[in-house]
Amino acid sequence: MTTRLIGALLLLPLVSACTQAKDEPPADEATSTAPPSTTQPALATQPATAPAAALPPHVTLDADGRLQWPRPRMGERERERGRMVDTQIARGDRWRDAVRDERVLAALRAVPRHAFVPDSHRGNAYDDTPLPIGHGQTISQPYIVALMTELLAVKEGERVLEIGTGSGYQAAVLNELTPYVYSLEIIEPLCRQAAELLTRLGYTTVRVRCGDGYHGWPEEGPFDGIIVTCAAGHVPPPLWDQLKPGGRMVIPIGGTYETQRLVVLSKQSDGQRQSRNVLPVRFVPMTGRMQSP
Amino acid sequence: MSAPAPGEPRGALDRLGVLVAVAAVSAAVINYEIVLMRRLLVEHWHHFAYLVISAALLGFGASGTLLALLEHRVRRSPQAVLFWSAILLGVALAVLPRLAIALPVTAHFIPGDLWLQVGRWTLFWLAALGPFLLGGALLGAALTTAGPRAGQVYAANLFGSGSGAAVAVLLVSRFAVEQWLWPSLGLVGLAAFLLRTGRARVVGVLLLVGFIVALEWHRPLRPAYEEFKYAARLQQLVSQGAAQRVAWRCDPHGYVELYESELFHDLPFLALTQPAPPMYSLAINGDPAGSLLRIDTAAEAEVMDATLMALPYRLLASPPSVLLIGETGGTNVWLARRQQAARIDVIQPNAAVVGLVREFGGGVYDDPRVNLHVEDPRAFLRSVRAPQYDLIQIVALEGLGAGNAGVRGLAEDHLVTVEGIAQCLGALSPGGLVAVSRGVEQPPRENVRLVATFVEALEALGISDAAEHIIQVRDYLGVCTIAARLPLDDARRTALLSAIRELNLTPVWYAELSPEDVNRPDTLDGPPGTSVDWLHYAAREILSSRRAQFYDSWLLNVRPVRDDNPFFWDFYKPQAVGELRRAYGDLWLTRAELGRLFLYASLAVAGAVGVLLIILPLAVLAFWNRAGPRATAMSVARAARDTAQTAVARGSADWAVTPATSMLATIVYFGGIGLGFMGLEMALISRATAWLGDPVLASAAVIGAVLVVGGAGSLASARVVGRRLWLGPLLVAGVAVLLRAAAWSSADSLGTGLWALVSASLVLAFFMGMPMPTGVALLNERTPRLAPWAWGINGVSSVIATSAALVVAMSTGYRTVVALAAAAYALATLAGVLLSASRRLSGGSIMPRPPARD
Repeated sequence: MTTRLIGALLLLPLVSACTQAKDEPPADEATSTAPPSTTQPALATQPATAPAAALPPHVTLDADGRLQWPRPRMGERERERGRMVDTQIARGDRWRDAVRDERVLAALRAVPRHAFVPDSHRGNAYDDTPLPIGHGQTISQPYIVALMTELLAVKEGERVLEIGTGSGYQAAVLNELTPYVYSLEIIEPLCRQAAELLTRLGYTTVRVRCGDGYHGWPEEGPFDGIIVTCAAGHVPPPLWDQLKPGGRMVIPIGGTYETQRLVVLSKQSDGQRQSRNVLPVRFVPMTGRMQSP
Repeated sequence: MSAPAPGEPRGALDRLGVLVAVAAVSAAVINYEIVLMRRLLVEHWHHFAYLVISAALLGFGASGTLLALLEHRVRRSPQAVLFWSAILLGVALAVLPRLAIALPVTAHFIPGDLWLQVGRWTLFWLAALGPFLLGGALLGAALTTAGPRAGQVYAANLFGSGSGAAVAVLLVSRFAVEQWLWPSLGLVGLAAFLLRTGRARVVGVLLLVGFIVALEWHRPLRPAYEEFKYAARLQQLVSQGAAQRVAWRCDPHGYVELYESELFHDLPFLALTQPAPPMYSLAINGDPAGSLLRIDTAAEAEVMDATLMALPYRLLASPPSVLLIGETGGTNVWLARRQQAARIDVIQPNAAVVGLVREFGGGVYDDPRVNLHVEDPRAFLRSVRAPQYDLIQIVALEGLGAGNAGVRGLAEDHLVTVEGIAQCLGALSPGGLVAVSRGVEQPPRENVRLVATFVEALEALGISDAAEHIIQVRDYLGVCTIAARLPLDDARRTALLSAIRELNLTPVWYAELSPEDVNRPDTLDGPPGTSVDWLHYAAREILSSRRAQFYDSWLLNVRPVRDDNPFFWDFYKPQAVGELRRAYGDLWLTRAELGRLFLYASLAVAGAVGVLLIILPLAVLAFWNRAGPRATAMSVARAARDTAQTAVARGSADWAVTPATSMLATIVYFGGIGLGFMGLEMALISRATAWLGDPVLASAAVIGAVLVVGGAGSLASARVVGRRLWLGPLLVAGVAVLLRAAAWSSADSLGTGLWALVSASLVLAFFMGMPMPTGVALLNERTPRLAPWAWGINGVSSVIATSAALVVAMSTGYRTVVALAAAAYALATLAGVLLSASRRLSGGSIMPRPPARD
C-alpha cells in the first residue's frame, strides 16, 4: 500500500509561473488596431463584436471541410525533440504515467522548444527540467506540458484559453492541435515577447493578450478547454463561467510555494463540477491573485 | 585575583560601574537574542527562532576559547579588555545584523541550489553569532577575573539578562521592527562609557555612538522577507503600485500587517458559484492570515454560504451558539451572522488583529450577538463552566497549505492535541459539533491526523463508538472534519445528505456510508483495485481495530499528538526519506518534511562547530602550554601515568586528585549542567508556549524568568552550596523530577495546577543558578587554567542540548526531555562530589609537568 501510495507521488519540479501582479483591468490590455499578420505581434485585435463562427485570419477549410492553419515546421534539433518525447514523455515509469495521445506527442515533436528559451539555456532546451526565461518566470518541464495538454483533450476546432503565456511554448503546442488558442499573460514584457515570438515562428493564429488572467477572456468565451499554468487557491469563478458545459479545465490547486495538486475539472451539462486529482506538482503562484494559505 | 596592570585603577573590578556594565551588556545581548528570534520568525520561518538559542550558546561557548587564547592579556589588563569588548560589541550589533539580512537565504531548498543555500546560511549564522561571541567574551572576562566576587558578577549577568528579556518583549510588542535593536545599542554604549578609563577611551565611546546613530539613520533595519514568504509577494505588489499597506501593528503574539488591493479575491474554500467581494489581506509574522471582507452588512457575505465552513450549520436544527477559535479576518463571523446564530463567541489572542478588524472590518463585530475574547484558546476553554456551544469551529486551522512543506514542523500547536480537542468537545452542548476545514493534500496527512485526533479525544471522553460521531466531507479544494457529541441520527443524516447534494460535496466518512458513494464527484487517488479515496481508507482504518497497523504503514506520521509533544505539523517518518529519494531523486528535499531535517542538520552542525570552535582550540592550547614544543604525546601520557601512580600510592583519600579524574569530573560537571540547564529551559519554554500561545513570547518569559531567578540563586549560592559542589545539581535534579510529575500529568496541568507549576518552575530556576558560579569559583581557586575549559564545555553542551531537546521532544515528548535533564544533573552531582573532594595540586595544575629538557 505504501508503495502504491508513493507511486502517486511524481517528480515534477518547479514549473512556469504566472507573474508579477499588475493592476490592469482585463479590457485595457495592449492591443494593436490592425488584424494580426505575419509581420505583427499576434496580440488581441478583433473587436468584441466579431462573430465567433467566422474563421479567423490564416484559418481556412480544405476540400474535406477540415480546418487548415499554419503550423510551422523546423528541422533544427528535430532529433533531440524526438528523443525528448521518446524518453521523457511517451515512456512512463514507476513514478509517472506515459503520455499516450499521439496528437500530443506529435505536437511536442514539432514545436521547437529551444526557440522559446533564452540563448543562455538553449543547450538544455530538451532536458527534463523547467528553465528560466526571465522576469522571474520559467518554461515548464516538457513532461508537464505534454501531460497538461493531454488532460485538456483538445479536439481540432475547439477553443482553448491559456492562463499564463510565459514563453509561449504551451500556446504553440496547443496551436498544433487547434487554431483557436487564446492566451493571457500579466507580465507585459513577457506578453509582448511571447506574442512576437509566436508570430515570427509562424504560430499566427494564437492570440495573446496582456492582462490579468483571473478574469479570463470573456469576449472570446466560452471555451472548450481552459489550461492554467500557475498555482491557484481555487478555480477563479470567472474562468469557470467561461467554460462551456462539457468543457474541461486543467489547473494546479494548492497553497503557495508548496506541493499543489494538478486537477482536471469537468463542467457537466447542468453546470455542476466533476474533478479528478491527477498528481502533485509544484507551480509558483498566480501572483496576480493573492492566495489564502 | 590578579594584580592590576600599570595604569589600571586599583580594585577596578570592585567598582560598581563594572557590575552595572556587566548587567547592561547582558541585557543588550539577551535583547538581541529575542529580537533576532522574532525577526527570523517574521522574515523567515518559525524553526529558525530555535536556532537563535543555539547560535547564542555557541557564541558564548566560543568566547571561552577566545578568552583562553587571550588569557594573559585578560588577567593583566581586565579593564582594557572589558572596554574594548564593549566597543567591538557595539560595532558588531550595528553591522553584523545588516550583513546577515543582506544574504538571500531561504528555507526552501531550491533543487540544484542546495549547497549555495548551505553556504549562505553558514555565513548568516556566523554573522548572527558575532555579537554573542563578543558579549560572551566580555562577560566571561569579567567573571573569570572577578575572583571571590564571581557570584556578584554572575548575578549581575543574570539580572541584566532577565531585564533584557523583559525589554525585548516590550519592544516586539509595541515598536516597529527597525527600532527593536536600539536598546541593545544604547546599553552597549552605556557599558562602554562605564568601563572607560582615560580620555582616549571617552573618544572611543563617542565615536561608537556616532557610528551607530549614523548607521541607524541612513540604513534602518526594516523587515527583509525571504523571497518565498507571503509578505515578500505583498511587498512586491506594493512596489509595483498594485497594493498598499494600510496598517501595521505589533503585538506580543506577532507582527500584523494589513494590505489593500483590487487584486485580492481569495477566500479559503471559495465555491465556483460566485466571486468574493473586495477584501483586505492580513499577514501575521509575514504569513497569510486571512482576509477581511470590505463589506458593511452580512447580506454582502452571501459567498460564505457556499463554503465548506457552512456545512456544519446545515446539521444544526435551531439557531446555534457558536464559538470561533482563532478567527482572524471575520469571515466566519459574517457566516455565523448569516446563519442566524444566537450567540457568537470569538477567540483571538492577538489584540492587534482584533484592533485591525474592528477598524477595517466593516462592523463585522458590531452585532449584539458577537462577544470578543482576547485570550489564549485553551485558557478560554478552561473557563467554560458548562457545555454550551452548538458549534465550535477551529478557524485557526483553516487553510490550504500542507504545513508549508514541513517548515512549520517545529511549531507547537497546543490546540490540536488530543487534550485540546477533548476540551473543545467538553464545551459542546449535547448536540454540538466541532469542525475544522483544511485543504486537500497529497499525500494525505493533516486531514488524516485530524480524524485520528478527534477519535482519540472522543475516546478520552468515554465515547467508544467514535465511528458514529465522525463526519468528513470534502470538495475539490478542502476537507471538513466534524466530531459530534452524539451519534449520527436519522435527522442529521438527512440534513447531511441534503447538504452534500446542494453544495456538490463528496462524502469521505459518516456512519453507514456506502463505499459506492465515496470519491465522487471529486475524485482522489485511493488504494488500487478500489473506488474509494485514501481519506476514506484512512478514516476506516483509524476507526477499526487496525489503527496501530495503519499508523505504522502510512508513509507519514499521522498519529495524534498530545500536550507532551504538541507538534501537529510534524509528519516526519525516517522511512519516508528513502521512499522520497527513490521517488524524486535529487529533488526529494522539495517533498520532505523540512522542519525535522533542519533540526537534525542544526544539531549536527551545532555539535561539530562547537567542537571546532571551542574544544579543539582549547585542547591544542592546553597541549602546547603544558607539554612544550618538543613534547610528544607519549611523554605526556607517561608523565600523567606517573603522577596517577604517585597519587594512588599516597592512599585512598587522594584518589580523587588524579589528573584524569579531575579533568573528567570537570567535563562531566560543566557538561552535565549545560545539558541539563538547556533541556529544562526548552521544556519550560514549551509549557510557557501552551500558556501564552506564542513561542517568542514564551521564550522571552522563560529565559527572562530563569535568568532573573537564577541570578538570585547565584547570589545565594555561596551561602547555600559553598564548597559542596554536588549540592546545587542535586537540588535541581530533585525539583526537576517533581516538576516532570506535575507539569505533564494526565490532569490538565494548564488549569488548576498552573500556579503550582509556575512556583515549582521558579524554585527550579533558583537552584539552576547555583552550579555554575560555585563550579567556576572552585576552579578559579584550585585550577584556574581549567576555567576556559569549563566555560567552553558548558557552552558546547548547551548548544547541543537546545537542538537535542527538540529532537527528543518530537520523538518521545517533553517528559522525556525533563527526565534526561534530571539525569544530566544527577551525573553532575556525582562529578561535583569528586571535584569537591579534590585538593589543590602542587604547581596549581592538573596536568603533569613536562619532562625535563636537556
